[in-house]
Parts: sequence; structure tokens; C-alpha cells
Amino acid sequence: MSGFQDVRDVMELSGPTDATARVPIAKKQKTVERRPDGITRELFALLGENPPPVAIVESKFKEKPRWMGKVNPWVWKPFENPARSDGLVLRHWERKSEPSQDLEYQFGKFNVKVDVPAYTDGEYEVLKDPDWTREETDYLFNLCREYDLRFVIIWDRYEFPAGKSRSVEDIKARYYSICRNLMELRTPLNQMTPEETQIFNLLNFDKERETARKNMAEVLFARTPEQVKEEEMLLVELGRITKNQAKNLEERKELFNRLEVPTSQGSIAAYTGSQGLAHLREMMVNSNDKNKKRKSIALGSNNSNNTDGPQQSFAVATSAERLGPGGGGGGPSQKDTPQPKKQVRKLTPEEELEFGVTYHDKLTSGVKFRSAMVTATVKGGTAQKVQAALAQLDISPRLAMPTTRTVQKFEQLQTSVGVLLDARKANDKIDNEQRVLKAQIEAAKEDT
Amino acid sequence: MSGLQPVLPSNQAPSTFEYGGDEISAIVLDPGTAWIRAGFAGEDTPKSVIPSDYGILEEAGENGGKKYFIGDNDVHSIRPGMEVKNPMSDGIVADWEAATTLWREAITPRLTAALSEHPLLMTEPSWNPPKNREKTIEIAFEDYDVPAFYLAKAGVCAGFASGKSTGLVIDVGASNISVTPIHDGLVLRKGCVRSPLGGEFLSNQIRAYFESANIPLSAHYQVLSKTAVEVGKPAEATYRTFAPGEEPTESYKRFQEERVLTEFKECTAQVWVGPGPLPGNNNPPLEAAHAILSPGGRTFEFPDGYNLVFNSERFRITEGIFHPPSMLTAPNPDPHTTPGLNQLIANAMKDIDVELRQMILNNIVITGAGSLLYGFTDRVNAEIAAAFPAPRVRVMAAGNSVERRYASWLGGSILASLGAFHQLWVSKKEYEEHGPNIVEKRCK
Ligand SMILES: Nc1ncnc2c1ncn2[C@@H]1O[C@H](COP(=O)(O)OP(=O)(O)OP(=O)(O)O)[C@@H](O)[C@H]1O
Ligand SMILES: [Mg+2]
Repeated sequence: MSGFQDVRDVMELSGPTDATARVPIAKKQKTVERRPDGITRELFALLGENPPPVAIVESKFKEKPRWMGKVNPWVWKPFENPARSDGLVLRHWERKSEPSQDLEYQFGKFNVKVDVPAYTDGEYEVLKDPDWTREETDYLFNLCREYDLRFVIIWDRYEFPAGKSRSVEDIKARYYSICRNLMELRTPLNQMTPEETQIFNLLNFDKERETARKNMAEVLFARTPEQVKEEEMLLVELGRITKNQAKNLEERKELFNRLEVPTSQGSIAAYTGSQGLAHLREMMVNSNDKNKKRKSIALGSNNSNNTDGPQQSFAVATSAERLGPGGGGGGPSQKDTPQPKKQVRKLTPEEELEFGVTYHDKLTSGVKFRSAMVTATVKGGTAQKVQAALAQLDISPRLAMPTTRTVQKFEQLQTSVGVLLDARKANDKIDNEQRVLKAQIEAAKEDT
Repeated sequence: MSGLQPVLPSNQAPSTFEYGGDEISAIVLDPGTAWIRAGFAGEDTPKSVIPSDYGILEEAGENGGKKYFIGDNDVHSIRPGMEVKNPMSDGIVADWEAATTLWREAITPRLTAALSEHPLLMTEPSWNPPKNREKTIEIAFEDYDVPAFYLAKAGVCAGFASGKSTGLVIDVGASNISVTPIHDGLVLRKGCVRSPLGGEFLSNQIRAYFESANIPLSAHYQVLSKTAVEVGKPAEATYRTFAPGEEPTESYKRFQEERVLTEFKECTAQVWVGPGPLPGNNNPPLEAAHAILSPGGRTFEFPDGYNLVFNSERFRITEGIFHPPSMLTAPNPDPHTTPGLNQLIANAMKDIDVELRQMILNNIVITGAGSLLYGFTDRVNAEIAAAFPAPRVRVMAAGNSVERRYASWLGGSILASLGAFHQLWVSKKEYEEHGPNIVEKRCK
């Protein structure tokens, strides 16, 4: 409760305090538990509020079953199966109330046969195959009918006297080629309905391919445990590579997106004023927001907290400043130029100077004057003395024109002055000591 | 499960399309080498199970003919001169007269008085020759006068009992271990293989071991009373004595001993986990095997009270099933030419279309009472996984021992109660028209 109050205090929320903060406790429900039969009131009271989960078995007679309706008699009835041709009469139990069955036997409909085509003697002339005799072909077709085209079983039971040994593929190839030829023979190809053409195409059995596939399956089946293990390992490895590849590709794409320099158009005239610049900045920050993802990838490695926007706008500001009025061709779209150059080739110091390229190792966000960025190269007490010395020499602590070079020189100057001042200080000290010691020596001489 | 579904009122028939059944009160008969199982189609266990072994007394029947003693009560009672015989040999019928009598006895009067009112479905092993099949249909129509008949392959039925119409059925019976690939409810003949390494072989292994270790084997009938003795101490029992000429026959004694051996298989024998043969089995480093195996020593008490703790022997007697060179009963069967179960499975798979192999290996069914040996299914699993590393292998064995014993009967029971099956029966009329050869055409 007090924690709750603290939060209120912290949030400076006034108003209701203790009174309403206390949630009204739900009135305890007085549940009157039913005392099961077969247990005395006293014993039940001893059990308290949480009775142990013990089933109290009452001894009761089993209830008389209540039938939901009238008893329906069943009769032992003869029936015939239409799937049989011999008129075998079997008997089964049937409900008496049901209309007596002249109806078809309900399982008769499961009697389905596969349609295996038959050929005439004339047709067989076309279907001839040097590898197969007419007798063997007939035998094959009978088996096909008998075993409903289950070729594995047909092959298993295939025992043509004095015949060649046939593979499942031989059998299938012969069967399908006959079906196909027979179909073409009966309806020429150009007269077939679309369905027929489809069936016709399905009957095309490629024996070579099927055999090759079987052989491969055989090889696959015959792998040793080592091979299986190795294959598993390779599969895992492959999975890893493909996963990484997808990632790499994406990163590469991002990179190319970044390198793609948008073509510049229009003049920079619109952005010369301070209002124009603000507008430009806005635009670029927005576009960066849109590319959040790519930003995160690009910055992934150096992972700085700096958001991209200001930094880039700063870069633009500097480059615009550096290019000056003469660099009209650059325009606002140059924001990315320093970077590609850096990627493409290394600039010599002269070139850097010529193009005004500078590298900064640390930049804080926001716009600032370079004069404010002059680093205090001297520390502590000397810093003040340096200031004083410069003031003595009539050099203003704030540069009138803080270009990179002047700032650099100014920093050098500061350092040099600092060093000089330090040297002088040390010199003075030693001089002093020298004097003291000399005085002591003098005194000692006088004493002796 | 029934709790979730609304309970069907008893006056309402189940929808035939959910269930596909149409019971015509057919009788299913599964004659094996050890047991003959018979019952009504549609039920989940055979109502009548009798031993295939029967007693016979020459010149004791009417008119001085033979007298058969069939069924548990009769065949086990002591009768001087009664021979105990078995009509089967190598899993198929050898003595037709006895078989006909036994089968009839299994059905009437145990199930029904009138054979002529019920269609009969029988099972047969996949290697049953055509002559035997024709003889079977002849008996059905001519001796039993059934209205309709069908002969189903035991392997296919066992597959059905596990809900498989495609798969590999490993049946460990009394006479044989058979491996039967099935596809779409039909056996693939090229892949059917078997080895005489079933329950009888195992019994002989145990006998051979007992003999080599000088362990006396007694049978229950020989013992009148016994007292408890310590492990390894000689039995203290009073034995039944027989007046000269009143002794039971040698075949009776052997049959009674067989019961003890079956008990030994049930409670003491165990199969080495594998894969690969039992370590240190043939060659001397038996100590190594002992070290691995000894924690599981088990006591077995013979009917006369003599009892022993068995260690690695429990594994040694069964090892021959998987690794025939380890068998103890050489030279019969020949350890070098008899394929062990591993070899059988490999042989069966060899001639199967590569497309089917995967599916078949994924549906391996183990049945037969012999497969109830402790550790048997684990060993099969391990061996198959080692032999076929690439495909996914799934071995199924009913956990329920009743289902394992009666799988082929149960599959027959399912088959004969299906509405769509009734068009396959060979009717009496068809038999009369086409003769016994119709069994070849219809029962494929
Ligand atoms: N728990 C058990 N462990 C091992 N073997 C057993 C077990 N119970 C029974 N057997 C053996 O199983 C054999 C009987 O198996 P099953 O009933 O499957 O044979 P069957 O079908 O009658 O014979 P077959 O299939 O060879 O014609 C017997 O030899 C018996 O000793
Ligand atoms: Mg069997």
C-alpha cells in the first residue's frame, strides 16, 4: 500500500489517498458446503473448510436402467451380395423395424474393378513388340486385371513359363505402351477430347528415367551408418551456409543502395538561406528515418549512439562551406560524397588539402563553430598563464577566421607557449635552488 | 475413449460406414503347430483354444479303431499306452486324418453344433503348398459341409490385427520363425522366408543345455509331492510310481516336459540386447559375458522342487535364434546353413521393390507366442536399426500377450466380419462348379 502511495507522490498526483486506495475487500462468501450423506455432522465439522479429497463411497443399489425407447427386435435375416454371381445367401442380424431389404446390399458398392483395356487380334498386330510374345502379353494383362494394376504385386506373382525375367519397369512399360497405342488406335490424336488427351499423356511411361530413379533409390537405401551421419552433418552445414548467404546478400544489397549516388538536379539556390538550410535538414532527417534499417546495418559495426541525421547534415554544412559559392554543381545531394571517395581510393595529403577533405575523430552532435572547437592543449594552471601570455602578446583568444589551418596553428601556438612557460617555471625554480645552495655554501665558508 | 463419445444406446445399430462390419456369424480357425485357435468372427479372442498335440490309443475306440484324446483335459491325463502326436510338420499339415478330427473338435461342440450353418475362414502359412490348400478346402466342404470358405494367409491376418495392410510380419511360432512382407493385404511371395528356429527349437536348446549341465528335467505328472530345498540341493520329492506296463509312453513324457520348458522360456530365458552376437559366446572369454550378464540371475524351480539360479545361460540358449552358429543343438538344424532372424529379415527385404522397402520397414509387426521371450522385441529392433540405418524403422509388437498369441486369429476375425469381404468367400456352389482348384484363384 505504501509503495502505491510513493508512486503517487513521485508522480505528484494529488487527490484521493488512503481512503480510496484501499480496495474494498470482497465480502467473504459464506458457502454452505453440502455435507455428503453418510458422514455425521460432527465428523464433517472436524474436517474444517478444506475437506480432504476423499471420495465417500455410498453403498447404493445400481439404478435400474431407463430405456430410452421401445426395445427394437433384431432378426437373423438372409441376404444376397450383388457383388457375387453365385447367389450365395449369407445371414446377418438386421433391425426388424427397417423396411425389408430389397435394397442393394450396402457393401456391394465396394466392389470396384480397375478398367484394364482389352485388345482384339487385329489390334494386336499394331501392338507387337519383339521382346514380348502374344501369350506373355495376354498373361500380363490377365495379371493386371487380377491384381488391379498393383504392379509391385504383379511383378511379385509374375511367373510366365519359360519367359524372361521382367523387372517392374519392364512390366509397366509394356502395359502403358499398349494402353497408349490402343488409345491412339481407337481415337486418332486430333480427335481426342481434352480429358482423353490428358489421359493419353499420362500413359507416357519413361522406362529409362524410372529405372535410373530406382537405381538411385537403391543407392540411397544402401547407405552405411557413417554415410548417413556424414550426410546429416553436411545437410546441417549446407543449411547454415544458405542461411548466411541470404544474410550476406542482403547486406551487400544494402551497401549497393548506399553507394548509389542520387543524381543531382536543380540548383542549390533554394537552400542558401538559413530557412532553406533548415528545410533541407528536415528533408534529410526524414529520408533517413525511412531508411532506418539500412542505417542500422551500416552503423552496425561502429554502433555509435549518434543518430545519423545531424552528423550528415553537419558534413553537408562543412562541405557546402568549403566549396563556397564557386561549388554550385555540388548542391544538396552531395551529402554522401566524402564517403564514397574514402571507399574508392586513398587521397594523398596534397589532394586532401586541395579538395578540402578532413577527417574528424570525434564529433558531437549539433551545429557549432570551429572556433569553439579549439582544443585546450595545455592543462591546469598553465592554461591560464598561456591565456595571460597571449593577451600580453595581443593575440585574441578567439580567432577571427578559424579555418582548419588557423585553428591548427593556434593550437600549436598554445602548446608552444605552454611549453615555454613551463620551461621558464622550471628554470626559475632551479635558479632559486641554486641561489639558496650558494647562499648556504657562502654561510658555511663564513662559519669555518 | 468411450467416455468421450456419446454412448450408443443399445437399441441403435452403429453406423455401418464408421465400422464397415457386417457379422455373418462366420467361424475363424487358426491351426498352428502348438495350438488350434477357433472362435466367431468379430470377437476379439478365440473362444476355443486347444493344443494341437493329441493323444491316441490304437484299438481303443469303437469297433477296435483308434481313439483320439483331444483338448487340454484329455491329452494331459495319464493313460498307459497313449501316444501323444502332432498332426503338423514344419507348420503345415502332415497328418490329414488327425488334423480333420482336431479342427472339428475345436469347433464342435465348443462353438456350435452345426458346422453347416457358418462360413469358415481358416489361416495358413505362406509356404503352404497348393496340394495342401486344395485338401483344406476339400475338408471344409466335404467333411464339414460349410456354406462358404476362405483360406487367408496367417501373415496377412497378423498384419490386419495390428491395423497394417502393408508391412513386414515376423511370426515366431512353434515350428518356425517366418518373415512375411505384405502389401495391400497380399503377401509378397518373393520375400517370404522362414527358419526352423521357433519354440520347438528353443525347447531343444534348453534340453541340450540341461543335458550338458547335468540338470535333471522332471515333469509335473511325475511328482506327487515335494518339499522346498535350497538352491542347487537335490530334490526331495515323492515321485509317482507306475506298475509295469502301466507307464505313460515316451511321447507323453516328452509332451509333459515340454510344458516345463515353456514355463522356463516364460520366466527364465532372455534375449541378449544386441545388436550383434552375444559376447564371449563361443570363444573362451566367457568371464566377460558373465560380467555383463550376471546381475540378472534368475531362479527356476523344477516341478520336483529342485531349483537353480541361471545367469548367462539364459542368454546362451536363445542366442541361436539370431546367431545360428551359437546354437547348442548342432547339427540339427545345421548352424551354418540355417539363417538366423537377422539373415531372414535381410533376405526378405532383398527381393522387395525399393519403393516399398521404406514403407515396409516402417511397419514391422512381431507376433507369435515365441516372440514373448523376454527382450525379444528389443533385440529385433536393435538388429533392424543396425542393418538398415538410413530408413526410418518402426517395430510394433502388441504389449498385450493375448494379442501377440492370437494375432493371426484376430486378423482373421476382423477380415471375416467386414461387409466388403463377403464377396470373396468361396461358396459351396462355386466349389462344386470349379473343384478344389478354385482356392488358388480366389485365395491369393
Ligand atoms: N512367454 C513365452 N516366451 C517364449 N516362448 C513362448 C512363450 N509362450 C509360449 N511360447 C512358445 O511359443 C510356441 C507357440 O507359439 P504359437 O502359439 O505362436 O505357435 P503356433 O502358431 O501354434 O505354431 P506355428 O505358427 O509354428 O504353426 C511354443 O513353442 C511355446 O513354447
Ligand atoms: Mg502361428
